Amino acid sequence: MAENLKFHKPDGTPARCLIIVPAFNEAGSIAQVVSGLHEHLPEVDVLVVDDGSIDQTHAHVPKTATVVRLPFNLGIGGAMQTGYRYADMHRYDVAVQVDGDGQHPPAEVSRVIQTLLDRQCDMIVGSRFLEETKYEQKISRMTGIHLLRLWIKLLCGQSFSDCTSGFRAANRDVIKSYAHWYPDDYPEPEVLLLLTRSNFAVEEIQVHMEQRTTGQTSISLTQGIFYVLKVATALLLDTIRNPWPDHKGKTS
Amino acid sequence: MIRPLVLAIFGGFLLWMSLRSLRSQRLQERYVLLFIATGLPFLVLAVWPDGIVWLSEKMNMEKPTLMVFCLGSFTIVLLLKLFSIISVQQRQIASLAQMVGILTQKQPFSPPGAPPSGSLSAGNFQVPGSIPTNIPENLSEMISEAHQSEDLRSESETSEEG
Repeated sequence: MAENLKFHKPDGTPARCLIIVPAFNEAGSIAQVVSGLHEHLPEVDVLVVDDGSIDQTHAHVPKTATVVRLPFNLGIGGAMQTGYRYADMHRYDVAVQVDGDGQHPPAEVSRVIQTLLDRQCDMIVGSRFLEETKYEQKISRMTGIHLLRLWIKLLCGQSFSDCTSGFRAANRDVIKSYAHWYPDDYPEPEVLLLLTRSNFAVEEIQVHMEQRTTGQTSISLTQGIFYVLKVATALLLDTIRNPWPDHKGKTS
Repeated sequence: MIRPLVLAIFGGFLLWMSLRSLRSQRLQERYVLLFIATGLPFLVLAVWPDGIVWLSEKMNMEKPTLMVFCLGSFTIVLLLKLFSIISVQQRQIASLAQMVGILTQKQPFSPPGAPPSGSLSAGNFQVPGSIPTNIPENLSEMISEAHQSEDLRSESETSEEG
């Protein structure tokens, strides 16, 4: 059912919102995802970034959405940065990342956007584990997420219950920063650390997510064993990075 | 007799390969200079084998093999330089691909009199700060074809030289 929502900034002016859907070989689910987004949020623009898919993903995108086709596969980091560059060039106030595999319910998108605008923070992360839910994860994957959560807390002092969640909304400041620079390899946990260290206000809310039914996960099971070690090392290296030197943080 | 010969062959091979790559436009001048700087010491040592001993004495090194290690470390610095170039270029290529994708985007169909917010008319996309440009919809394919023809041209040049 269409909620016909119009989002507003704290000063009362309308907030222009863009939903970025990165898609790599998601022909089986992309049409349903985009249709669901338009059904629930007809006022919000949808951008599908086809990251060099070989299964004609772009052909399954409904005509109501804008499609950016990358000439070759850049990975999730490159695809998402494409979306943020588009959002920056078109002066969007809010950009929401929604996966193309149908894991992120359209009904939750409006809540994520509204929370970002209400709390006036820089980014909102939709977490699966902020409260107890029935969302099923493998024990190995949960262990990895917990280890990364502890590691990030150790490095930046802030705890994130779901550091690998790709369901997040960013304000104009973060959009501009992402357009300038965005991590390539493990963007979800890396940006949490980098944004926090750059004094961006990042908060979480509990969201409901669907179990993945189609497509392939961006991190295969065989890579899972090394994933935590690789991400932990990347996060450690991120502590000497300052990709957004112009951002001085919010004045209190 | 064997050692100077091996050094001369290796040094000469490096110089020949770098100059050949320069001629076929596969290597830029700045990188050719790096390989000349790497290959020349081998040629010098081929005609003057005691050069390494002389250099190590001048540097107050107890064993000439340490001097060899110092010269070898130059190769590691060279590798670091090359990887940094690759990293920068990889980011530039990704950035270029992103812009190609954005410029050749497919816009949603607009209902009469009510264009979708933030969207621009198809084929007449304007990057902020630039002049309006008509972008052909098959630009991605055109670039891909241009790359393929470039590769074919390079291969034909190489085969002509051979």
